[in-house]
Amino acid sequence: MSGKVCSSNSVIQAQKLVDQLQLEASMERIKQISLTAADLVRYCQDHRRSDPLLTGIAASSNPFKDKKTCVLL
Amino acid sequence: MAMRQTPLTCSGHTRPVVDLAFSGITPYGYFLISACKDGKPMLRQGDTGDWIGTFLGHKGAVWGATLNTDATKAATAAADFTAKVWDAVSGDEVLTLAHKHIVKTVTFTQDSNCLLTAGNDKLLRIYDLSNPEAAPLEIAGHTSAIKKALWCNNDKQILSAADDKTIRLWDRSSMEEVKTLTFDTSVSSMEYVADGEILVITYGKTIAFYNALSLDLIKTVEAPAPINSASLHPEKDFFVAGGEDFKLYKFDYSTKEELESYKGHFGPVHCVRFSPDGELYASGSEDGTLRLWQTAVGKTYGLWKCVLPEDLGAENSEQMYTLAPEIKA
Repeated sequence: MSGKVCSSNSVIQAQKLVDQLQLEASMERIKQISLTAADLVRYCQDHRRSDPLLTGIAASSNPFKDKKTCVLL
Repeated sequence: MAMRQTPLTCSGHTRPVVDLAFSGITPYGYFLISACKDGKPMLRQGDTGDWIGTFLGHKGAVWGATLNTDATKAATAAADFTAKVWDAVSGDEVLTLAHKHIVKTVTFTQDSNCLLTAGNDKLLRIYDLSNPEAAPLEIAGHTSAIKKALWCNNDKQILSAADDKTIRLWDRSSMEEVKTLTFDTSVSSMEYVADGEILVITYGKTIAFYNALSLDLIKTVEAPAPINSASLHPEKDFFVAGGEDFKLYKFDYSTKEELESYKGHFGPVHCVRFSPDGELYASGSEDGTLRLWQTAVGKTYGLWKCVLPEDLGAENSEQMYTLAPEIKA
């Protein structure tokens, strides 16, 4: 029984490995950094609206906003 | 108006860059090799600075690196007492040439058939690359470590600069010393410009130009700081120099006037060379980076694109042109 479980585990592991390798093989890789850099810049500019570092976030949802002092009533 | 330019910064090396060399212009453009104390010389595309590959194999600091004219072969000189010849297309090590001490300089003949090496063993060695097993021809004479050796006069003669404060001209066939130049201080660098037979030498704060055949002095120019390396533009209208104050200086060759200077490196500049088309010059520094600088700031070339003030919106209107390495899609 345990032999069967072990072998199905290794099949699952092997399948995961194959999936990962297929994912990696299908990625577009650019050799020159100058082209990659241009690509990155274009991506950042295209997505500037949803980029909190460029467009900022509402003060209410900002966990790092400056704390105001507390007033004891 | 003081010029500003944004150089292309090439990172990757982890120790100081001590030497760099360009290939000639090939159908694939031109290439750049950098020698570094991290022992891993790198090959880059000359006009963009894009890393192409790293030559792995040396077990010590690489002091000298060169490419042949068509960038098919590379040669490196290292502190592991070897000089290596590499296939620049595949990155494979082709030949290892054992020496008796640190090798400092390597250079190919124009036909790539012979390799000249020199280093701390004070000898000049000529290897026949079609017969690498054979013992190299050795030329003795220098009384201390040789820093740089170059072929000149159509590969018929050799120029060598050493820590014995001399530059010597040797005849290849007779293997004899033809002429010697003696200085008060050690020469920091030497460059040979075949077209016009000009030798560019740096020592102290001086950049000196000599006739490479007669070793007659043409002119000297003083820089504001100690200079480690200088390079003459292929058309001989400018020369550039860099040294201990981290800056790059550009001078007019005929008038000796300092035209421009650029800050950028975070350490002393060890080597500076013009590209074969003269459109840019590369500098290697103690800070581990190479930087590519435009000769004509404002020109659209390689990754540089001229951006006019109206295209920039709220940019400082005092700047006439802003150059940012604007990457073409």
